[in-house]
Amino acid sequence: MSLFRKSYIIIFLFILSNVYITDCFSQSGSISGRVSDQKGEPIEYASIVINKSKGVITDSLGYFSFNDLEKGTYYLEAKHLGHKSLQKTVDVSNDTKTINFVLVEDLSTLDEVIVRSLVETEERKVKKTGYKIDIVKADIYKAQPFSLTDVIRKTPGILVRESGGMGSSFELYVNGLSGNKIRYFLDGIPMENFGSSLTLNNFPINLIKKMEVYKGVVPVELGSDALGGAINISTIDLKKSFLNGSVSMGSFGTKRASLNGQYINKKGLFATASGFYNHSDNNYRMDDVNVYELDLGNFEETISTRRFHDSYRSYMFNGKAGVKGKKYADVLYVAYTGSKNKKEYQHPETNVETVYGDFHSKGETNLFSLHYKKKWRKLDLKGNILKGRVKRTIIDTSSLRYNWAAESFLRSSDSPEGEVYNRKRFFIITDDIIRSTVTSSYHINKKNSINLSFVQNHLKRKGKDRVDEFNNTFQTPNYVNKIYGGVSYDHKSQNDKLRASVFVKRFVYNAKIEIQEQQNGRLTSTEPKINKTGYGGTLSYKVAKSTFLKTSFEKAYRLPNDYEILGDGAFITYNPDLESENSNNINFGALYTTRFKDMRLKAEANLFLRFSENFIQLGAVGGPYSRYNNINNVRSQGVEASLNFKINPHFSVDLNGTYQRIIERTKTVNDLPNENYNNEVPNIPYLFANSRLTVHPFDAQKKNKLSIYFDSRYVKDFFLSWKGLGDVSTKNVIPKQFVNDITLAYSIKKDTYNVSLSCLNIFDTEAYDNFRIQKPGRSFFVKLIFNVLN
Amino acid sequence: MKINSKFSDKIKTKALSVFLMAGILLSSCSGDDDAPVGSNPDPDSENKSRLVMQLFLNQSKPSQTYVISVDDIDGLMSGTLSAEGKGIEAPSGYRFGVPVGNSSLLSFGYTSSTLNCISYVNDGGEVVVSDKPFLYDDVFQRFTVSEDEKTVLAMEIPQGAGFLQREIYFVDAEDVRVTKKIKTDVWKDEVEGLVAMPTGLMIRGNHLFVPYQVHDAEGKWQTLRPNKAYMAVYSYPNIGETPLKIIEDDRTCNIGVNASMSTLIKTESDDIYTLSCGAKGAGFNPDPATKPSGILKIKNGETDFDANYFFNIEEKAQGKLFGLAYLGNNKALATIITNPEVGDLWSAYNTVFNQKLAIVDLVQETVSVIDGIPLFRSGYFATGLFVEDGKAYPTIVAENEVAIYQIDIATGTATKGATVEGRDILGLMRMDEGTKKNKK
Repeated sequence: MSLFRKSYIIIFLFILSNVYITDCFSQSGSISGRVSDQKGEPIEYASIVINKSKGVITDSLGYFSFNDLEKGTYYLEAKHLGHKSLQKTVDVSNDTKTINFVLVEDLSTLDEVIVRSLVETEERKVKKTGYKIDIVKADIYKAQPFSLTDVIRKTPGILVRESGGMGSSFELYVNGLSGNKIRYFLDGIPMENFGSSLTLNNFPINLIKKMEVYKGVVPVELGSDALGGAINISTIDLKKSFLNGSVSMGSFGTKRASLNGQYINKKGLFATASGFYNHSDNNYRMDDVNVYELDLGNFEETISTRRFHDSYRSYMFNGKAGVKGKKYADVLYVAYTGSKNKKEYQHPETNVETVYGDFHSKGETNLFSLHYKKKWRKLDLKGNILKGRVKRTIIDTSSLRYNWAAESFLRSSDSPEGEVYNRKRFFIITDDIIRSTVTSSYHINKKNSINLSFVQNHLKRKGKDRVDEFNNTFQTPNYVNKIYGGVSYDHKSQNDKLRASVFVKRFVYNAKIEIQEQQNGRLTSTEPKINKTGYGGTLSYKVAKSTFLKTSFEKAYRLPNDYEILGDGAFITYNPDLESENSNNINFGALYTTRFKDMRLKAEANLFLRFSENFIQLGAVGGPYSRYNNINNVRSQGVEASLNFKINPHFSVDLNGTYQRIIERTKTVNDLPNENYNNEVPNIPYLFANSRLTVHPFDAQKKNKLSIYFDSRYVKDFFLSWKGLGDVSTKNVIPKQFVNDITLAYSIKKDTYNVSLSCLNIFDTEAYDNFRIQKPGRSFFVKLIFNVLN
Repeated sequence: MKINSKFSDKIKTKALSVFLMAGILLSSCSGDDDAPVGSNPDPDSENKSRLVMQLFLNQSKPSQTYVISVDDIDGLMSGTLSAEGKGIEAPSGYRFGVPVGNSSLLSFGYTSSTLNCISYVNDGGEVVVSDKPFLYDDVFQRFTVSEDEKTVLAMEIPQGAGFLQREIYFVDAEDVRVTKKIKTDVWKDEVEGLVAMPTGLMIRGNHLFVPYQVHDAEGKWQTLRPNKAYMAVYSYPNIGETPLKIIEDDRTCNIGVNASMSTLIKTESDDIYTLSCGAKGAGFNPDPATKPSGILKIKNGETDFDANYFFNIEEKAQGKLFGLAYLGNNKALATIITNPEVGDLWSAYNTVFNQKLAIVDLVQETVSVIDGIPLFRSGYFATGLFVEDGKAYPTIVAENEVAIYQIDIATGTATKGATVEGRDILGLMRMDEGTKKNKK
């Protein structure tokens, strides 16, 4: 396999040999051990302080270690909120001492505020590295009727744009780059081709632990061709048994439910089951839509009416079973995920003039996987393998034509026309995927470590149309193989002030495409191959107590996807010569945290630059034909800033905002000068901000507690088309948006039960998104949460 | 809502101050200033008539059309034609432009997301959009204006839709409303799986002429019977579901090319002339035609091809005819693909610069090539040709430059005019001041 060039192997061997040498001749000792509670359960995030100076945090299995210790006597103290502290003394010579702590519970110190600050400890750990990362903690949104897309859009630099209500298609932008330039991971596994029922807008916030958003520069462990960034969703929490669930109901026939249960026995066997159910009629009011005559198509009148064909439903089940805390594995389990959805379409994604009344689609995903994780003293190993089938069905079999008055008209009973396509369609695309991931870290010593990552991804796509015999899209199956390998070297300075990382990523792509060429009917076989090497580095420096300066860089690639290379077998022809998109991504940032008594302040600012080339875009070939080509060069630049200010236990404020300029940098298009060279790429917001006010009006120590959340979002108006072209008074503008949400939540018996009432878009302001398509107005939701076996 | 707006202003101020620094930082390193905004038609101008056109951008994401105008011919002959700070932004995508006499420009969307027709009129020297559009299902590709200029016929041709019928829309040019729709196959052969792909529309007296190519029904866009000219003849205005008759001629190949509005010519004496191309680069697939490219004639009052007339362009110009637009006095402006063997399928539209212009005399059957124009592509007069005072104004898409040229019909000389900041000029026309009814 030619995954890495010779030089990488040499570098790698060199590093390994250093490791070996350092390891053999070091004249130091070490202390390691485990922190557990009285039941023997590991305690994560416990802090171990050595000689009242340096400290470490225990991992998810309660383990900690101190390396490179000179001979002598050490005083250790284990602390964990909710438990009494414990001190021990230990003598160290040239050996490894094992010291275990069993902490006794002490409920008097435990309240929600402190638990939250603990989670922040983990966040701080990641934030100390040079990566530009934002962490979205699910817990603080649990009382609100939100999906993951609703929550992630509150992050600076992130835009989520939806074409309607629940289940509508969405586009997520990270620092101006969007679509398949952003990669998603579920517990570290790439989510590519997982189907429309497992996307971010399906997941309720209650099923996950957190989301990590990497902007521009992505660590090697998240193995994929992420050009603009990656989002990792974490769901796994194997600390204890639990059962929790949520039900929310509200306007537009919206219902969301989730259930999440886990049982762990003393022997380390565990089983987890979780699931969600979503439904919405999405029948919100549309203001000023045009009604056209059904037969002749002439304009009749402008009305305000409710959407009538836009319902969405999705459900998911996930089950895991395995063992933890064994000699051969820290964690080993099998998992199954099954999900389905059904979506109706009220209108095309780009306008509300044409109206549909029957067109819909269905999705079904089945995934089986095996997961393994083990930490040795110096080596961490994690691997998984996944096999799945993802089906998508597009159903356009109606002979009726609709308008906004919900009137319908029969074209003619024998018309071959569907609502959307020229011929009725019942098209099923089946993807079979096999994917495996191995990541490993080797901790050379306390200051240096190497991380390796390998991802393999195989896709077989087949299409079948039950109705349209002309539709031969993917009739012969097509294969795509993607292999990814990455290696990074992480370094921490002696005084822990400086952290640096360098990495190299290698992408190998090959495909076998057999396609019946539409234009001449010939069967063409082609095997495109692409090899690319990306690289980058990160650096963070602690300039003062709790002040970090950070920078990161990556030469990033995105390989063309199957659809772009294969075309659709109809009017989008294949292009085996398609090249990867590439981008030079740069971040400069500063992070400051401080505390004074009860007050906590965190401020962060980041400057981002993205020099992107060869963006793949659909271009005309001639007649009805088009083809994906490498056309666009784009430059994004901007700043984002956030401020989290906790004034006292009763009141906190989160603010963030982003200003960005996304500039077209393609000099010529179709051998002609590009009239928009250096113009701003339109239809993307350039100034937006979020705020969140959290109020706990009463004493935080009480068992029952009231919380008030007030969320606001501002997006400045922007042009749908090219800026500077056309008379401004005639230009399509997506107006300024300012949307406010409020939630009142009451938690009973220390969060065992939680009842909340939300009003979204309180002032019923007009909200628009992509292509000026109206979004829901004021809506109300009730949400109930229970949390037992906690 | 007062509370809301107050609150929003507060937040806005906050957000502004947060980003002020950043804004200064970024704009200072960018260097390009905002374009001047707003169009300023001269209020003192006596001649309120304007030259109006659709400017179609080259940049395609998103592809966009702007309706711009200039005061007079000088505006076409100097400087640049651009939409910078002026022009009416049209719904997105490519749009056919159909001039109706000197009164209005009908604009038909060709992108699947904006299949609507809107109209532009001249309101006191200012071009404005007239009223609400009408919608249609599938793209229109063929248009013609009735002899009284009151009706526009637009033909909807479903693609890849088997034997789904074509539909002719009668559009009231003034009200921009559809008055009736006629379904017709034009021609088909269900056994062989063949359908007609109409390539033009022409009204003359009581007849509607519809030339067509023979395509596969699956919509692979294969021209399966290229070596014959086919034309359906309908009665007009009472168009029936089936044509009165179909006429054929095997001296040349299929009449018409994709997307062109310059396939049929009607002279002052009501003779009709037709264009036959047959080149691979013009969409003849899988094989180009073997019959020569040229011009056929249907004499005034007749509904058959003139057996005594065939203007063999291929022989006389050593190339294939790709566009044909009428100049008056039996003369026409012809686009000729100079080396038809060069280039892939559809290359004449998009990739190869190998076309030139010539003035052809339809009666004398002479070809005189116009000098002084670089080789170009896309010369199919997608939405007609603007001719005024003995001069024609084609848009020439040459390598690295799109420009308007002025062709002197009498002398056959070309003068380069304004450069175009875009990919094409569609529907260039003279638009006189409209009646009140036309106004918004």
